[in-house]
Amino acid sequence: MTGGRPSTPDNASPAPAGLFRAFIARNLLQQPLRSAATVASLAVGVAVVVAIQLANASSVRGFSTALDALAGRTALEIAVPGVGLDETRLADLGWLREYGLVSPVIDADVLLEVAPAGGEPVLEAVRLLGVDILRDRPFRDYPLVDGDTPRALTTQGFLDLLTDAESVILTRQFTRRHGLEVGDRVALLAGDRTVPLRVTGILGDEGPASVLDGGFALMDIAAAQWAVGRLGRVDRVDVRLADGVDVARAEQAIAARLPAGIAVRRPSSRGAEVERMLRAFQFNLTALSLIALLVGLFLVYNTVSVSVITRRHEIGLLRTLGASRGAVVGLFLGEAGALAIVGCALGAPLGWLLAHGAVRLTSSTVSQFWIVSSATVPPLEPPMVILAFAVGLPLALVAAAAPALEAARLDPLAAVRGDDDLDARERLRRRFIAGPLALFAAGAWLAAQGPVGGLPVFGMLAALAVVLGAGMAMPAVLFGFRRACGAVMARRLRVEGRLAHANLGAAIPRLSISVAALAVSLAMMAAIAIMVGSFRETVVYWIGQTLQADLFVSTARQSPNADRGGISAATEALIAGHPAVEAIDGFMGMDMPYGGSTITVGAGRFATRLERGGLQFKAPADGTAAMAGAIGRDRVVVSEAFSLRYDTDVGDAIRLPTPAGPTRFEVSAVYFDYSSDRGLVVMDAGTFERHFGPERPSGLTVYLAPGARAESVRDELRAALGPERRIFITTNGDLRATVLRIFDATFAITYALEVIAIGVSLFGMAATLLTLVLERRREIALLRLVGADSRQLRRLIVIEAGVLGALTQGVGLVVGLALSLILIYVINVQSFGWTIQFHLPVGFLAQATVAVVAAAALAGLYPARLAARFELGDAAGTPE
Amino acid sequence: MPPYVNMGGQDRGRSRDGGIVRTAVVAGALLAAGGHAVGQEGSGDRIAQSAWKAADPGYALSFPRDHAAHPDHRIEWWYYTGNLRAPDGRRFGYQLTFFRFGVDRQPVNPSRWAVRDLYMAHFAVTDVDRGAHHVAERLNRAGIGWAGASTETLKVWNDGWAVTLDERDRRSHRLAAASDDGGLAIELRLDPAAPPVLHGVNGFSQKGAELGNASHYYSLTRLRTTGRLVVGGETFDVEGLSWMDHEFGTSFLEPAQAGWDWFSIQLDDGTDLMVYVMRRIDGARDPRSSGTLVVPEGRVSLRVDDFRLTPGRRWTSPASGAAYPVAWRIAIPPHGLELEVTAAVDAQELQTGRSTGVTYWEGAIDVQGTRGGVPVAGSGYLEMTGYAGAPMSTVLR
Amino acid sequence: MAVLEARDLCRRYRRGDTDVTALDGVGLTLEAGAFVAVVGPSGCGKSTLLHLCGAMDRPTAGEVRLEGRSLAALDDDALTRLRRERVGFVFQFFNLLPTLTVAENIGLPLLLAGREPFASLARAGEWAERVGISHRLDHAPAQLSGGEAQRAAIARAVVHEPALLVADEPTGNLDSGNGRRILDLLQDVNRRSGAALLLATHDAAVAAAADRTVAMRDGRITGVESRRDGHENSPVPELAAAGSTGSEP
Repeated sequence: MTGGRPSTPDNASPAPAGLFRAFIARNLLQQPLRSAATVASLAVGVAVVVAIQLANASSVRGFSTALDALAGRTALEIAVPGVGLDETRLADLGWLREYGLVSPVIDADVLLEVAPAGGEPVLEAVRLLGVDILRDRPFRDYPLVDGDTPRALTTQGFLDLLTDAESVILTRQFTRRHGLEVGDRVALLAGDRTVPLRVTGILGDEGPASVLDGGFALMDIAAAQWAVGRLGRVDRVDVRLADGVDVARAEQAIAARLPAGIAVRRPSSRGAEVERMLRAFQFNLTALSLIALLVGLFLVYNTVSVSVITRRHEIGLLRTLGASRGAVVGLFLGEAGALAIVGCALGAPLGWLLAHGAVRLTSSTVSQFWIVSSATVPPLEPPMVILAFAVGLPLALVAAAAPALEAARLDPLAAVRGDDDLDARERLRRRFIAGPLALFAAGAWLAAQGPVGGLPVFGMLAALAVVLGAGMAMPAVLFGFRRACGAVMARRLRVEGRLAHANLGAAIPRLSISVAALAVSLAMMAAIAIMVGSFRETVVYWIGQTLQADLFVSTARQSPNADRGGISAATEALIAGHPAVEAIDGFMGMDMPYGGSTITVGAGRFATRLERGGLQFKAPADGTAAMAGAIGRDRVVVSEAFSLRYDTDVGDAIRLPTPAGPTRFEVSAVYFDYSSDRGLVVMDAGTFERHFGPERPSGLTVYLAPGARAESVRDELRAALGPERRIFITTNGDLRATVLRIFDATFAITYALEVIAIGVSLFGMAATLLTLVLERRREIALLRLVGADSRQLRRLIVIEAGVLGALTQGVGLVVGLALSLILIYVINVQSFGWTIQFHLPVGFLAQATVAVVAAAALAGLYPARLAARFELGDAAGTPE
Repeated sequence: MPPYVNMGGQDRGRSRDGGIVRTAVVAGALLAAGGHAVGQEGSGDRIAQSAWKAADPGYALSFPRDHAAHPDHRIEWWYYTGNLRAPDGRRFGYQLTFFRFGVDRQPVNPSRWAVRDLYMAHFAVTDVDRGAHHVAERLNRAGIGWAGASTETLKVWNDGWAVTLDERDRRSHRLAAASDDGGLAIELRLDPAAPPVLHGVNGFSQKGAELGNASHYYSLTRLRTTGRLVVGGETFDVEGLSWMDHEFGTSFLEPAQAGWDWFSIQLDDGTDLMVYVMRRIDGARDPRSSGTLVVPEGRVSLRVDDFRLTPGRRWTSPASGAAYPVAWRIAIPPHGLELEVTAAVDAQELQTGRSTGVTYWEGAIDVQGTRGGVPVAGSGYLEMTGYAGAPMSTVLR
Repeated sequence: MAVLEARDLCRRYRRGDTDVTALDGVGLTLEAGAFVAVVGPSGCGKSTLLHLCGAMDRPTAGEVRLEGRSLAALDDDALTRLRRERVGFVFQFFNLLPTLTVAENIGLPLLLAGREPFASLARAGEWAERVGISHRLDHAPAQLSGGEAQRAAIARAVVHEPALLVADEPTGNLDSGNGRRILDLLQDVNRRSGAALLLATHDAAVAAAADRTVAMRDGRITGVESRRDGHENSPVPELAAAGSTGSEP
């Protein structure tokens, strides 16, 4: 044998720092591969946590900053919640002047169409603010620029600019993105109409223009009202309090003086509502991200364990030379600490990079379901770096504690003599069975508990209990496996199988950890696959039940926010006039604050819906009759999510804000809905109009005569409507495909996180295999000595790896099944209020299993190559 | 006569290089060129200038009907100035002006917020004894009625400030205005002691060489005033004399007219005088400068050759840098009038840079002199425009 | 034909910055059935010599021939196959794989050579019986005493009927009684199977049992002592100090 490694620490200085340098740091450097693997996996784990935090922060932050910038110096805003304000009522609010300045605004999400010369028109969603600049200037900064130079304008000059024909003022970011200049034309798509506009000014990056990636448009209030079809109404009235007026006191005083139905609130309350809305989604993401970290920590445990095991001899020497137990613990904790510090230092910036991907994945979901937010990753600031260390370092030390204590407990003399090798036939201990059983029981109990503050805290704990239980059950599983499969492996896989079986059996205590780590990742993957697969099947079924109409007509608006004033009566008449059209149902919805969060209150034509079918009722048994009974009365049907979230059932009463003040509605039915988790309250169009005034629907569902071809009717309608009517007509089939596409995109982040966790676990698996090989250096040398050639060695180790992979995947599948039940029946219901029918995605799971086993086997290749190069002299025992 | 008429000038438009609306000149002057001068590239047709009604020499003013608004005309203002005293003798001057500038006579947009008219109001109080001058302003569109002017009766308002005809006596004017913080306010009742004085020919006041560049213009030269005044948060009961101008038309000045100096004077012998000089860009006095002398015997129109206005000492505004003559000599030889005019306070400049960019001097004056050799004294208001800053024509289309 | 012919063997290691010469021009020949003991103090190069002769390691210079085949031409896997067919090993420590049963350990060379497992284990059983540990067949190595473990190791070393049996201090870790029994066993195997036995020891009593004793010091052979002790069939001991460096002083 050669002297690659020092066989004793060359300087066993009692000074901890020197000792650490000599004993740990040097060793870490001499094992660059293993150190790098541990650091990398820890970095990835930390990075995933940081990335998810950043992504979460940025989606809310994107919204909050936008909110702040859009609110400017607005202290309070006044409106009928969700509805806006009939502008004639403003005249009665002149007394607001006593509190400060007042500015009415139109605030809408619209699409702008930019047609570059010779190019395809591009659509981009922007936030449109329509203001009376004469009043609004003290509220918000509108820094007009000319190129890069500020353009000073008097208020009146600004008004001239805004009241210029078809005037819109866009941001520098937006105009640069689309190559626009002052004087260029754009089109605003509002409802089914196209409003031609001309860019009359460009805003620099301050105030509202600085947020939303420049997706901001400024118009005169009159022009905006007209363009978005809100004549006679403003969305709210902003109040800037005079200097020295206390916000809380003013809010109270104003609330007391406002007529019924009109409410005052702070702009930030909208941010709070959004945060509440997103909380469950983000909570779940955070929990997922912790799994990646957990796996990273398993690896730290593993690395330190290996360090302890492979260096027992040296530890023995250190101890005989006078190092205390504490010093030994300190050394190995120091090792974990050193790894963790490097891992966290790398993890923070890596997380920042990952966050860009995560934001791309989550922001589309967030925008799809909750808010339009141009999420940009905030710069990596100290708090996030601190978070990285705060999460990574202590946990790494905890992970290292067990092996470090084991090192301290070593009998120095036995360790030096090298005759304290582990009993190769570790017996199955009782705790290997009792522990997991206790945890599984705890999991079952936790799963039965209710949510905490709308979050499935107990559900998550139940999942954690199951995961930990599974991890603890690994030794028992491995013992069971060894007992059950030895003969089969020996017969099927010849001598290598026999050897692999024997080796795995011997290494159970060591293997349990990394197998558990991988099994947990795989279990999560399986659970999520089952959950998503079930969800998807449920949605497919729901679509089949719900999407009965032949054609779906919608406006260009993509916003999840209030869809109002969409499709004009003329358009609807034209569609109704088509000979193949038998019936039309219209739907519109608007956002409304409710119970501290936001719900959608919508209207549909119940009679048509009942006649054509298509709602899946959860309660009562005869939902159809209940829905029929809601027509003409103050009765509503609510979505399952609403029912669960607000603990509202059939027969209960809810109070919704209407222009006439809070109004009582009775819940007559609960129906299944998977389009949104925010809670839907739907009433008959007639009821809606009675309370909220006339509204045009934002979507139509069109039922065709039997035998009519949807595609041809669609094309005929399109032709009849002409290019000016900006509406989308989708056939049933296309819409179903779209719904599923959105569904799949929604879970992209979930899968991405899981793939990362599995990658880290496989990494850990490879590291474990490497460890096992290094540890068995002598045994492998002996094997080769007595005649195992390199092919046999490779087979042996690859079989070990593959068997481990298969085992973990097997455990992963079983545990995953349990987790998926928790996800589906506890976490999902508590977070989102969706009932999901269980469904096993067999194909996917089978593919994943093959992939995992193959990947694990591949992970054995490197250790196998290493093993083939061991010095045979190692087998002879003592060095010469 | 309000200040915007003074900024005679060049042209108005958005220069391509700076994008800044350069308006050295009163818009009215532009309009004088026949309505097409207002051209804004590409959108000039939106404002159908021809739709605004020009001042009509044949129009007969009648009261109280013509106290109300004249929305067919593009420009209109109600102008109140006065000199007041508190019981302890403390002296104040005040100015409360409501402007209406037509923007788009028939907006296409049916929204209530569509800008047909732009309403502006200036409110200033001169605290003579303290040498202080306080200013507040309002700029609004009518919208849902936050600003406006009645076509039925004298009722003009702008976001809490208002002038109305007293509902009971249908005679006296009620003025109310307050700054946002309430530290500056007036609440006054003005009783006309004499019927309206029509300027020019039956109230048709020619301003430029072209026939259309004219206004309908009358004054209530002597309004007995009582009420309350708040300055610096301190409230005073006040009384004194006010002067009201009401003028409306569509186009006033011509490009060569640079600014003016305008006086309203109430003498203790009962004589009231309104006189102004329009300064041309070349420094010459415009032949359309005129005035009206109200003597107990009746009213007399003053033509340009009837009077001489001689500027004296100048005060330079630290804010705008403009040098305003704050002492004047007025000579009206045909009527034996020789008057020395002195600003009650030098610093009575109004800067409305952020809202409209207009800067002018408008303030209380002391008057002493002789009429037919008999010493007279009095007070009044002086307005000087075209000395500094972006002219008020920015607010005029 | 000699089972083992080693000529001019040199083995140098690099240890840090210096070259260590473990073996310096050593030659050795073993006929079938021969029993040669190598003696000398710790670090004299005994183990290195045994490693080279047992095809575990390659010499820096010189040549090893096993049954006439030069090992120099063989790659690692060929050496491995050669070992599993023609060489048996017994060491002082760690002769058995802790994860396998005694029977599996003994049968390992056969299993690795791809023999049918049942037959291999049966054969292992036979040998276990011969060395007297048949009652331990299903036990783990950790459950054996030192003597039992060495007996199992000897069974494993001869189960495939090798031509050469290499034993490095096989009794070094045993008490004298057990050591004696192991030596007897080795001699018995040597006699009965006809495999040549190359044994390193520093125990004079053990060395005395050999046909020939080679004394080593500092990587060189310092003396050879042959004796006939009544084994009729024993080949004539021959000192093969063929190299120019000469192993004999």
